Amino acid sequence: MTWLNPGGLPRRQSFQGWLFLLPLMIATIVVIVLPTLATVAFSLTDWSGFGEVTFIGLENFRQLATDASFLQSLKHAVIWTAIFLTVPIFMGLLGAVLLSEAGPLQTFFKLVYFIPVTLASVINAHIWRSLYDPFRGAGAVLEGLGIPFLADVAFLGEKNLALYAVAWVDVWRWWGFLVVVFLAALQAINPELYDSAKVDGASWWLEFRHVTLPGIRVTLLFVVLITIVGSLNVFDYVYILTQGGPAGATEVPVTLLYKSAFQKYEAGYAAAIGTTMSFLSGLVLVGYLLLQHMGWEE
Amino acid sequence: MKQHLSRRQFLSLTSKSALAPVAGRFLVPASLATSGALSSASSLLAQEATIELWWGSGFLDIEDYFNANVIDPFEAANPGVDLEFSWDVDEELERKIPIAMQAGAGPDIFMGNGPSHIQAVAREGWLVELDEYAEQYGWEEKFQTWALDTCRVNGKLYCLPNSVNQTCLFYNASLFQDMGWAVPTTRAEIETVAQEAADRGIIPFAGGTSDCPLCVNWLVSIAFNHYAGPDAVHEALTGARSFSDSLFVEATELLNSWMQQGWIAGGAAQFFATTFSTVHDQLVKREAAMSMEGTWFIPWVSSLFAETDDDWNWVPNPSLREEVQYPVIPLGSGNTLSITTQSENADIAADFLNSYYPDTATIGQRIADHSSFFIAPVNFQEGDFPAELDGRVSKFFDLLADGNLGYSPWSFWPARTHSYLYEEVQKVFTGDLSPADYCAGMAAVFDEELAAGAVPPVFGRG
Repeated sequence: MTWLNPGGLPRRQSFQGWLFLLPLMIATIVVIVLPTLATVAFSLTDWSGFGEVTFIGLENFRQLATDASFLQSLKHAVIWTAIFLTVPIFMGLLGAVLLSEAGPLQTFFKLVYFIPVTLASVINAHIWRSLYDPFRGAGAVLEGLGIPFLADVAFLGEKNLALYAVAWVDVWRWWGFLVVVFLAALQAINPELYDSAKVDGASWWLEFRHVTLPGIRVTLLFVVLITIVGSLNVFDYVYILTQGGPAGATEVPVTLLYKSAFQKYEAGYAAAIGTTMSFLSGLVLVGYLLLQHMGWEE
Repeated sequence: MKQHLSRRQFLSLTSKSALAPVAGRFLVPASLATSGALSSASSLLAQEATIELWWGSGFLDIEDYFNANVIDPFEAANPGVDLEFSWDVDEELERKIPIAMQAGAGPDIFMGNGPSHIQAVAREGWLVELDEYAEQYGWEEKFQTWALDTCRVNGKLYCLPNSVNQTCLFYNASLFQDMGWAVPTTRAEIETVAQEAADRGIIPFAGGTSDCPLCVNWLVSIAFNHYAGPDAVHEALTGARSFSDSLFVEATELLNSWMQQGWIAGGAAQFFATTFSTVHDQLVKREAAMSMEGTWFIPWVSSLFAETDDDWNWVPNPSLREEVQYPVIPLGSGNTLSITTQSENADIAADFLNSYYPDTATIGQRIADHSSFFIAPVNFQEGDFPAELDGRVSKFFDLLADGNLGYSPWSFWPARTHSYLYEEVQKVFTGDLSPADYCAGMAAVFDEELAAGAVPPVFGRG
């Protein structure tokens, strides 16, 4: 039983250590483990969310595999993930690199970029819904100023644009957070490495590639992890702005889950969606842990 | 937006409000009127009790009035009874009730999100049967039969209808007058007005669902009730006719043709992306001629037009097929009030419900004061409405008495079919689904729910 006492501590100290962990373990079991197990169990039933529960085996998962709405929502989640692995990370990195050289204005800009993060998603969404309004939004205002290129563009109404329009609202909120995270990582890099690179005649790009990126690798990997998991489970901005519409154009797995559970009273099916998404997120987490295990962070 | 406010916070806020003098003005007469209605039962309630109520947060818009006319009079008439309100949006309440009930933490009274929600909750045995209270308080006589019937599950009463509404046609009356347009009552007439408006660069029907995607169900309700007709809808809801019937397909085709012509909001993309505030602004500013909305819009349209020189009015939507008798009034029950089986004070809760619906003259006064909140489906008598009540509000009740009553999806469609109705019609508008396939899909979902006994009660014809 060495796993109970991995540090080889005296028995009394080991016991005290576990005692300190006990409240957190209880909270984890009650808040995370039991609901997760319950969700997995309900995914094997036809539960409506009310009353009787009937075991139906893997029927919900069989249905999911051929459900066009779910497959479309998965596709949207992949697109969303691709957007968030590129646009805000690029913007955040660029912003952090530029801010690292901003001198006394750095704090001011950090604050400005961070403001959207502090606003409630409902407020952010309301602001952007108004900006996207085809008759009274930014496009109409620009048209009034003689700049008509956005006139008649219904960002949230065009099925080919809506997902990107919603994603942009979330990017606008998220990238400021990444600026601050990346800036903190940049500031932890030993300045002597940059001095050495300069002595060796490295260009800005070579400095970035061989000093900056390796220096923030751990942070970057963590940001990639939370981006993928967050994107697979995105809900708030999509639900507030479009509820998955128009015509399913912005449907993502968790909005579908919500509708199944609370609009159609198909809680068992909703649990199957949740279990599937948790499984996919778990795969990403396993990948991250494998990279850690392989010493990628060292 | 989700809001939570305990009753004590509510009272604290209202007492500090600059509007307190206004609330005070209502307090005396309303208290007198309501306490009269309570007198018979309140003597039974000489006990300490806390009644927890989960209520629609929309009422926070009139918190002073609600406090002075509903809460305070009841507590004053029942010393020892404390009403604890928790406010939330209707959809959130719908989500929270099953969770709370299964956790044994349900309220005494909650505002349900319409009859189909109540069907599901009542079947679990979570609601107190109200039939004995109905007999005790005379609710059968007080409420309109059709409305009370929507609250029955297997013949037993489980809720009281809190509001009644209908989709209708609002129009800029001044614009109509200037253009020489007659108020339409037939399909030919409304299409003539729509075409003339479009020719002049005016959007025929302002519309938008950006704030409320499911509100596209208003349009489907209009198409089904005014084209297929309430008889056909009744047959469909009782299983005598399929939703895949050609009448419903044609109704959907007609609605879609209006959308594709740009008559509604300028087109489907604009319709999905436009906010309510823009919709209403377009109507006020003559950028749009009409708006197919519902009677819940009456208080707001009135205040919006008050800031302009233009005037407004509303009529039932035209009959869109010759065989459908005008006017059709598609009725909807906005939300409902129920007592849960976890209430330890069901008698007091029932007494509060009774006090919430005082004599019809008091309800008439409340409608005159705040017509968006108190349009209760009760049997009004002549003289119940005060003289200052706008005729455009009282018209609603006249039509209820005389009209060809129809069925709003949010009240009479079962949950999954209703969800299908507003989710999938969007695909018709975007060209991803044909009207025939849309109706066939609705029929398939409905047939499953009909077989499962999940269809809310439907009032009969005639």
